[in-house]
Amino acid sequence: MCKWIPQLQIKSQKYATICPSIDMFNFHTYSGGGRIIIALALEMGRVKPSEELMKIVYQCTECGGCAIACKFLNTLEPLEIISKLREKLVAKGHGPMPQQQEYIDAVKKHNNPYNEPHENRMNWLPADIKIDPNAKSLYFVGCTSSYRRKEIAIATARVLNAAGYPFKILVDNEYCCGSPILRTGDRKTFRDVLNRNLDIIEKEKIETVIFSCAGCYDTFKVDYPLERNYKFKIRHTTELFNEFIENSQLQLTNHIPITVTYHDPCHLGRNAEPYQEWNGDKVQLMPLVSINIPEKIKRCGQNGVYEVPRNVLKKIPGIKLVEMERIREYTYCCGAGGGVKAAFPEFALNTAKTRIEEAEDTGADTLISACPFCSTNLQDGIKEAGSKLQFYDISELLLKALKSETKHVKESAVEET
Amino acid sequence: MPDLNLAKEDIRGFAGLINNVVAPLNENIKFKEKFTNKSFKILLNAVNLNYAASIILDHGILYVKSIPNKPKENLSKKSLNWDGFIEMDSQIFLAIAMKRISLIGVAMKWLTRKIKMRGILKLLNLLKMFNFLTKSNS
Amino acid sequence: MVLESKIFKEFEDIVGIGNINDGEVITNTYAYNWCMEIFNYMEGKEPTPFSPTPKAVILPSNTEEVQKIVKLCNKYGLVFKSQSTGLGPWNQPSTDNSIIIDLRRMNKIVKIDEKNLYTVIEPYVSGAQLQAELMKYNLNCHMPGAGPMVSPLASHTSMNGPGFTSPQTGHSARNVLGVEWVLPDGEILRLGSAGMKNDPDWFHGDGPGPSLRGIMRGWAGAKSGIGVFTRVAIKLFPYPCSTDFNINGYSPNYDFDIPDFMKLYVMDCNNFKKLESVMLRVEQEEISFMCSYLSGLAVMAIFSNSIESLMDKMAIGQMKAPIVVIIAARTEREFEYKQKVMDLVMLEFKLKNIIGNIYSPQPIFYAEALRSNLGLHGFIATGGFQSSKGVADTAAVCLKSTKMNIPLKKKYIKKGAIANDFGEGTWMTSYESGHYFHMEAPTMFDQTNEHSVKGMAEYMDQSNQLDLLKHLGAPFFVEGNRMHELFGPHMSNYHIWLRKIKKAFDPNNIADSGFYILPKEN
Repeated sequence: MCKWIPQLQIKSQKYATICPSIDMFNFHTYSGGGRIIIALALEMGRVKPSEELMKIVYQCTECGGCAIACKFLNTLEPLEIISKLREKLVAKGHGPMPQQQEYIDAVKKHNNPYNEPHENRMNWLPADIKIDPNAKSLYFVGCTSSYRRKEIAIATARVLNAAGYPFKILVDNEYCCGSPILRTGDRKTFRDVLNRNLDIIEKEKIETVIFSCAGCYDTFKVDYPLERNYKFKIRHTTELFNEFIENSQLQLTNHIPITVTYHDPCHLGRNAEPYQEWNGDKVQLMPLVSINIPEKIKRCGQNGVYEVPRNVLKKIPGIKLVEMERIREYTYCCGAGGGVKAAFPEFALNTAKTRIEEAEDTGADTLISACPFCSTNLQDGIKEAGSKLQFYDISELLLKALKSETKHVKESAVEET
Repeated sequence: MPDLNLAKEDIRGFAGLINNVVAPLNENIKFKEKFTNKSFKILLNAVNLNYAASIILDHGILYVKSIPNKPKENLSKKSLNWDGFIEMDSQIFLAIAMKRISLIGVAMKWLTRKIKMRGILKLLNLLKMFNFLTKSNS
Repeated sequence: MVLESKIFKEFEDIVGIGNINDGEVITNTYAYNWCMEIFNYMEGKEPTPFSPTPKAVILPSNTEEVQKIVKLCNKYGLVFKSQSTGLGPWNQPSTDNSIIIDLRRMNKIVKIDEKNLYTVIEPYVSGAQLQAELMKYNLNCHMPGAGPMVSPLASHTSMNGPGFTSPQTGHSARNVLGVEWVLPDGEILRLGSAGMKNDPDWFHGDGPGPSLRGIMRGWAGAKSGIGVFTRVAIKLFPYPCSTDFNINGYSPNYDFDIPDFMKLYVMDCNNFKKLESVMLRVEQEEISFMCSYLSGLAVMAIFSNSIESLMDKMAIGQMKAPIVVIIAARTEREFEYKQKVMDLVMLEFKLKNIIGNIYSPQPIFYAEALRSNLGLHGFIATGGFQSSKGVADTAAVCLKSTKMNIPLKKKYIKKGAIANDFGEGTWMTSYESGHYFHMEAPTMFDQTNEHSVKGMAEYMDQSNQLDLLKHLGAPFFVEGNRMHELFGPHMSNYHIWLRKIKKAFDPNNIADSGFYILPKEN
């Protein structure tokens, strides 16, 4: 099951698969199930840590597609096992991949995985963006938007301003969320990063933290509470954008006559479901058969953010939204996550090209997403494939739709070039 | 699944299982018609599991509560004022619930102390209740 | 153990760099399979889920590459085991001196002939993929009971082949048309019209010479023991109802727009004698899309997506001999007719449909029925199940086997080795409108519990002995040398003929005979 989208969702032969890893490398070992077997074989001493093992374990974007497919009927957790396998390897000194270790070291040195100077982190910020130092909402920009996808940070800030939503930013005190570190299995370093971030945010007495990056959002929402509880709320910008539109805080007057298709980021959708505490009882009904009372809620991606980005898109005048076949909790990964973009760029690019083809097959002329990391890899894929698709982050498209911000759209475009 | 109790998380262990089994009855019109004026309390304990189930019928509305079944005194008539009491292994309960054991079979298990019963006449209400699980709602 | 570098290079030259691997990580992954622990124990080995570890795994992309690989295996005396979607211990090699031919890269739907109602597929097309494409033509295929994620080619050429929709779509053995077959010596054989010299096509699987389809797969298939099948043509059928297949909501609690002309009947026949009559009667009328006998617990399971959600379905579990029938139609007139027939059958046999009265399943059940996903519900209780026995025979013999199995199964239930389904765990369906029937006894065990694995293996062995003792018809799961030698003497010594076939086609035993038969007596 781990290789396919949920069986009932299969609409064609071409778009039936969910695992970019086995799609690229073909051996069963590269599937979610295959990696579970590796974990078992390692525990049983049938295999030893080796370069081959490392490559196979790390040639996975940790997109969670296998887990969703499996858990339609089962209670196996392939993604958890893959994560724990990486942690085990790292703890024993066998991981992560050298390119991943480089960016972990960069985080330790410069507070971002791009090895860029920390002092340049706020260079994206235009002078006319209104920041409210007393605001109770914090816009956590994230490393990728700060250094690589500045247009997303700019567009997000401008939309928040246009909606009259007061927010602050951490300026010099914003550091990597830790997601790229966690996904490689280096839990120790992740903990250090997490604790520092939470100390800073709690000291600021922030009530709501807003993210335009799905990776940061998922990490704060799902992974941080497993280590340390916090009281502030977590919102993704698409959730806020939807509210702004519903509450008429944004006037969408510019007509944008394009056909778009929306790529669901894994970390905004299926993976962005917090773990729920369960204090029930395991009742052994008979030998071999136990049931949980009350039933444990399976994390199957049902509580991810899927509809609000779509609502936002549908509200933009002129936009026609068409859907790919693999969407929502069974979306096909962009290819960038899990440390793959750094360690296996060809694999990341290949996966992006697969997704680009799927977007093209919808007849759309524009691909939209809501994550700067997806943005980077998908745009790389568009370029590599020679595709005519345009790409926007949802914040950029929203900015284009705001009459008051037309002049800034042109500025953003200049900055992009 | 229909909700039987508001505080579902308080229904622990075996009692939670019983809750799930009998929950459909509160939506069964024929059950309500038959039991509308009836009230009783039956204690159902699975010896191999935690938390006995106190099945309370209050003028046609069913409730289930969980009672820790250790120490044994927790389950006494004095403590709980039940009308009927039945104790068995969970597998036997399953066999009874799914009618895989005849009345004679139940009697044999009672004779061999695999089933303990008190207030047999009231316990017959339990059997009648289970029968409604298979009766049409129309 | 790995391949010698010279031999590795020769294989790599066939399939290209990256399409062969002899590292321990990949080969050990392929050594694992579901239920392998049971089969290991039955062979007197440690009950681990790992089979012998192959020397390498190779991924060909076309028939010519498969042919070259097989010839190379012959040259070096290396056993090959071919597999595609890979579900089940039947995919495992029986020796370390083996190479696994993983046919994943051969995944084309070569042709859909909607006029003549057949399709030609390669090994790694899954049932769901094929059905999704066929629905665009209002057509359907036979899907094996194992589920929509398995390969129809594997089922049709090499494995058993009953399915939930067998009343309408038959059995894999009966649906095979033209075949492209790489023989164990590397020769390519095309069966039926696919082998014609002029204008070959795929629509027909036989003659004019002796039909080799029986040799190729017989009843239960050779599980790679007689070569590699690279293409197959299979029969197609009209899709039973509207092809609108709208799934809403999120996993696992999807919602589904039930097609207009589809209806479910679940009725308690109370005893096996009546059940037999009812099944035969329903099937004689040729109206059912699905017509199965499932035990009470199994019926609870097909309506549940977790063990917890089973518990509110006790009413269904009380049924002693439930029959599950689905009728589906493409027009209102057809639907009315089928309903009328069912109403008459219910009147004749004094049956009551619990659906809509005592119980109504979630709409997603209908989607799972159409996509043949129901068999996978067998995993929800313990995480592991396997069918302990099976019969392909008349309804009477199938039910006799079910009945005889109950006390044997209860013995192992009492030991705590298998889950308690009161001994009744069964799935029975008809083929081709009641022509004959399939029965198997799904049994839930815990593959991580050694006591359970051993108990399950013992129960399966005793179940086979029971088949012989009580003359319970042609078994379903007879595979491997040991089983053929056990059953053969009671069934016209077919094993001798099977051995002759193996010897004729594969005298050097290069195609893995682990789940087929050895060319020589043991």
